[in-house]
Amino acid sequence: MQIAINAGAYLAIVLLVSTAFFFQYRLFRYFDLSLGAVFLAGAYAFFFLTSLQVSSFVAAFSSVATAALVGLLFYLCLIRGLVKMEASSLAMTLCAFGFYIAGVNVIAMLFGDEVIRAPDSALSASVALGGGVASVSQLLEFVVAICSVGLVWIFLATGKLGRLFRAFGDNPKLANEIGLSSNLPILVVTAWGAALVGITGVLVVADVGVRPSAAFSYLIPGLAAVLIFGAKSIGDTVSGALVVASIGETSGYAFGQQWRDFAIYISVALILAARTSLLGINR
Amino acid sequence: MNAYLAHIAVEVCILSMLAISLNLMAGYSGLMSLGQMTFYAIGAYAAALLAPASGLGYVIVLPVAIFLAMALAFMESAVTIRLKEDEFAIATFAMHIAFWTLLMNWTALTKGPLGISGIPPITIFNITLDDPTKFVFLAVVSLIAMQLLVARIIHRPFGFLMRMVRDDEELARNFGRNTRRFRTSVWVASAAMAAAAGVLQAAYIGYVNPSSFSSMESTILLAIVILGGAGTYWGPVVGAVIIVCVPEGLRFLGLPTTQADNIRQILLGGVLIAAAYQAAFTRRGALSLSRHGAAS
Amino acid sequence: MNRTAIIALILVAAAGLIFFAWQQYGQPQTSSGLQLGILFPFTGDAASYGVKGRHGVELATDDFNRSGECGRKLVPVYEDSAAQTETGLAGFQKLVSVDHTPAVIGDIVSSVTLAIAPTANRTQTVLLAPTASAPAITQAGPFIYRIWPSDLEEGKAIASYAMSRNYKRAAILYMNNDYGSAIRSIFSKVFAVGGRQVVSSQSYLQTEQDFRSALTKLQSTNPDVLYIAGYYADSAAIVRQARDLGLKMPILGATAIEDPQFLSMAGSAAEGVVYPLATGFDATSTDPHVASFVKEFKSQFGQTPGWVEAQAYDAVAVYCKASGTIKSAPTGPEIKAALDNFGTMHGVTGDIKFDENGDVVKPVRLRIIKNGKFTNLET
Repeated sequence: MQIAINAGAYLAIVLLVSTAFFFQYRLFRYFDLSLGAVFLAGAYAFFFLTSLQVSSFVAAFSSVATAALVGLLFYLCLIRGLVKMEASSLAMTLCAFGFYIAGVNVIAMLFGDEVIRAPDSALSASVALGGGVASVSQLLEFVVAICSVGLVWIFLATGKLGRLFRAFGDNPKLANEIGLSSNLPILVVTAWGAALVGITGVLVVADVGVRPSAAFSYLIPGLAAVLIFGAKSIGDTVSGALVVASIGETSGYAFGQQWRDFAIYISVALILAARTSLLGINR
Repeated sequence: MNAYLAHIAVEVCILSMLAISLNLMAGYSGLMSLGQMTFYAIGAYAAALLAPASGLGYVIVLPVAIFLAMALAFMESAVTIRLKEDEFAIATFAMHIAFWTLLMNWTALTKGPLGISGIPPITIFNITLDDPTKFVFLAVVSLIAMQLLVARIIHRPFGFLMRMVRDDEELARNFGRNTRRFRTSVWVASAAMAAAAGVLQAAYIGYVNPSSFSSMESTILLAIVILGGAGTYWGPVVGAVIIVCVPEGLRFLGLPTTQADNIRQILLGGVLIAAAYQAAFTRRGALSLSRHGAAS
Repeated sequence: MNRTAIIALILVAAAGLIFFAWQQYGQPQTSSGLQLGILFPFTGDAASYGVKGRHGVELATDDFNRSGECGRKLVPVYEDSAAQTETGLAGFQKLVSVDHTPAVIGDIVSSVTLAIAPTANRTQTVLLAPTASAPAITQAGPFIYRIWPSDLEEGKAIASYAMSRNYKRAAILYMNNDYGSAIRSIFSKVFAVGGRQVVSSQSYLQTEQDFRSALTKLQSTNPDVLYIAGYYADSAAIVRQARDLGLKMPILGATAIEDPQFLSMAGSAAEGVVYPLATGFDATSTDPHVASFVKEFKSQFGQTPGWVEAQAYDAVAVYCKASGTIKSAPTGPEIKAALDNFGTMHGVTGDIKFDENGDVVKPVRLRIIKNGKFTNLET
């Protein structure tokens, strides 16, 4: 049972992060590595506020808002310009990577390189669960992940989100011309993705703790999930997340913790190789 | 003072060689690889493992290291052959991290994070190059040799093909060029150069461990190439000079050093962002800052 | 300004800086002070240790300059190694050829120490490592000394303890860096004989904080003891998560967990953890020398010193004692000769004596966390 709980929590994190990747990839066809900085923004905001004795609830809410803000600012200041110039996917990915590196180091300058963990709170309490033990954070991760996937699916089904994605996906030039890149729904979706990653940051720092260099290991499985089957629909990304989480947990369990990330990276490379078609999206 | 300056010169030369190898791939051919450090590491570890044990001279170690690097490059190329630019970048990144993890975990071979010490220095004509002031000559000569090699490559038809593929792969294919085989050859050549640089570095310092080849180092290398001018002849050397000399120069100014590394990385992030904007602005297919590239 | 101009400008600036440095420092220093190079990681992953070490050095410099024990005024020259081999080597090279320091105290991490050892031997510069623990340093050369025992001692001590308690099945979680790797392999070698076995051995990256999968896996192998070979933050997380998951077996730790942060991060789960202490420093000691060190440190820096600060302090003290006997400006070989005939020094980290390899001879104590405090283990 404990194995299932561990795997479920891991899957939840992968789902949350990959949903955010999904949004940005579906819209603009690039890998939004800046989400690593967003993750840290959420985590460190929560740590900062709770160490000032702010209540967990208020701190969590503010931290997620902070993360959403960081994601939004990144989009408005950096990505939107590139989208308008019809920059290549590679250029946008590298821009996001540059923002991530800068963000990690700003956090390190402000808070140091050491591990920080929010003071014990309701989020870190343990809950017995049918023979195993989970932390409240882990449960919340799972619940939020499922709900967010559900919400995305609903919005895609009702057409709103789908229309937006298709507008940019099929004809970026026209979408740009009519000023769609500054359209409110796009901003909302960007903020939504960033908020999901921010929530992940908050829950992780409340549960186990983070340090600036740890953001990367939360980022990569999410990215891998989007790479595997693509991002034609949220279903692709969810399947990708399932595959990544399975590969990660089983190799970790079979060969030892140190091989988990190795297995994921090798799988990413191999799967990319095996796929013959582009990610199902017209480029 | 001389030894210190010689040391700086050696590091600049070796880093330049590494940057030149990446420039061949990323700058001239548009293959944005974030995993060049893999081949550098192969060179260094080959030297570490082969040189002391068997007393094999570097005359043997160097070709072996180059061969291993070329073999791995060939395999990696086969795996990533059909990928478009950003997927390619991510794939090379992933493969590099996997390789690095192997370096860390396969302790029986590499001793993992403990590293391998006691790598013997290079001996030429009975002179042992164990001193920066002696090694610097070999470093400079190697750098010149590599630049001459690159000059030959880019001024031949192969070089023209490189730039054509970088700027418009479709066009190149329409001209009947086998772009896939071309990509592989560039990669293999670039890997060989990186491995040579790795052998030199290991022989110079006498100690290797995985932290010198991390994914951050790989990203820094790409930023160096971009900073100095991707796709230009002297760009990689310029980038290497800046990256080595500016922090060393800062030592003398006595600036508070606790934040120096963070600031350096923030600047690197800035370089990547600026490069992205530059590329978008000049509307090139790949991330090229060269203003003297192929006709558009 | 176009790009070429910007690049040219930067290059000129860099060249100018180097030239300026050459002018300033190119001539051998004839200062009346006693130059001492300090090579610590002030940036990067080990930065917090470097900063702590620096505090120890600063306090020692103040103390000895005030008391005049070194004969001359002590002038430390600080360089950053960033805990990276290339940066450390450049910093060391600068200290040797530009500042002409006859001795360098460094590094906190073993990998840099090993990387600069060949240069230290070649230039006949004494290298005194305050906390580097890799076993390979024992054979690093004639000019390499250290006041922290080799990992061999720590690994042997804790493994012997485990054997004396009749544990038969050990599970190990170790940090994948030079420290964790080294003590783990020594523990394994010593422990796994005569019917005892290491039933599970997993490593983790320095950035890892979630160990629940690893703990679940090792639980399935039914160990009777868990050995954690890591630093304090990850060890604290492991200890807490292990108890949360219901793992009840006794837990052994490494020297690095003796840090107040470990207690605050691990909470009540830390109770009963046994670990070896390779440093002789005990902030609660009633020894007058130690007590005055702690008091002075607290008044100058506002917090209780830990073992990093104490080791750095003693490193300077060792240098002082060694070079105090030398009349004129000391050279590397002279300092080395003094260290080879060092005798014993009573420092804040205990009695310091060197063996023929330049390693300190220091017995490793066993400690236990009892009632939320670090205390000596009564055997």
